[in-house]
Amino acid sequence: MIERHLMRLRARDTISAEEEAAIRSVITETREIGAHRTIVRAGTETTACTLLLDGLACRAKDMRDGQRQITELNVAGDFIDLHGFTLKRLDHSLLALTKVKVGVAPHDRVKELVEAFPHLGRVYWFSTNLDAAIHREWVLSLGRRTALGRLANLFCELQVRLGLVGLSDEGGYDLDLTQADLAECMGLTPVHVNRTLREMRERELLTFREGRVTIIDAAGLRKAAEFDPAYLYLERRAE
Amino acid sequence: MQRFYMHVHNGFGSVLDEEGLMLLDIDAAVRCAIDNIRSIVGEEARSGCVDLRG
Repeated sequence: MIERHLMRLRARDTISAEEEAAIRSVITETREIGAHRTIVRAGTETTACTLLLDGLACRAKDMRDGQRQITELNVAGDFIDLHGFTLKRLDHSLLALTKVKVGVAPHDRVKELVEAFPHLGRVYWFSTNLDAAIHREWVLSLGRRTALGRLANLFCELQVRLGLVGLSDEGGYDLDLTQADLAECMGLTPVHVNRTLREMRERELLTFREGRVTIIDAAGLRKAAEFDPAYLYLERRAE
Repeated sequence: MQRFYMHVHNGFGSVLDEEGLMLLDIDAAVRCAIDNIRSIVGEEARSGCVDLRG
């Protein structure tokens, strides 16, 4: 059930069998939520963290006129709102972009976990720092990259992040998102995304059709994005 | 709500919208189309090559 989460943690650190068992016991229930549903609304006081087990979710903020900015995509294995453990109230919403399966980790259980296993406290502290690094990269995209650079960087990032949990390979990955979803991630409009995807196809970098990303020219894509995976902190640093 | 398809035709050629967008009515679709084109023209202006043909 939490295999992808463990894969993600173990890509960067050593998690003992005892720690694994403790992490498993933190999840008290699982829930299935339909596509395009709100998991937690902005402003809500939270008493549990949400672990994404399957599907795609995101953190998003909304403008009064209906415009939405997705601030990070979450893939299977990610805690979507680990920061809620210390913040207690979310300044953004959590949304299911596809049908998702989530695990519920009550804050009191998380507290017991990190007190019993200080190493896991550091592992999860790293995890929220990693989220902040991803946010910084998205700020760079939104502020400075061209439409093509933004989408290219996002596709590169997702290939790496999905790869850590066994959901992508060199050729590509499944990504059940619409052009409107991509537009909300990268501060573009759906038509602009559509045109940019066409440009990526014509430059033989990548195709995105029917929920499948096919990477044609990985080096070219990374160059177009100025993608440097350093911000994803992929080094393995076992304690 | 209805589905509107936003195809773009200009000097670069045609980009067909296969996905469409769910919008309230034709007025919302016109506003959305203008917003979409402004996004593209805005980036073209930044890059120094604006294509107003088509």
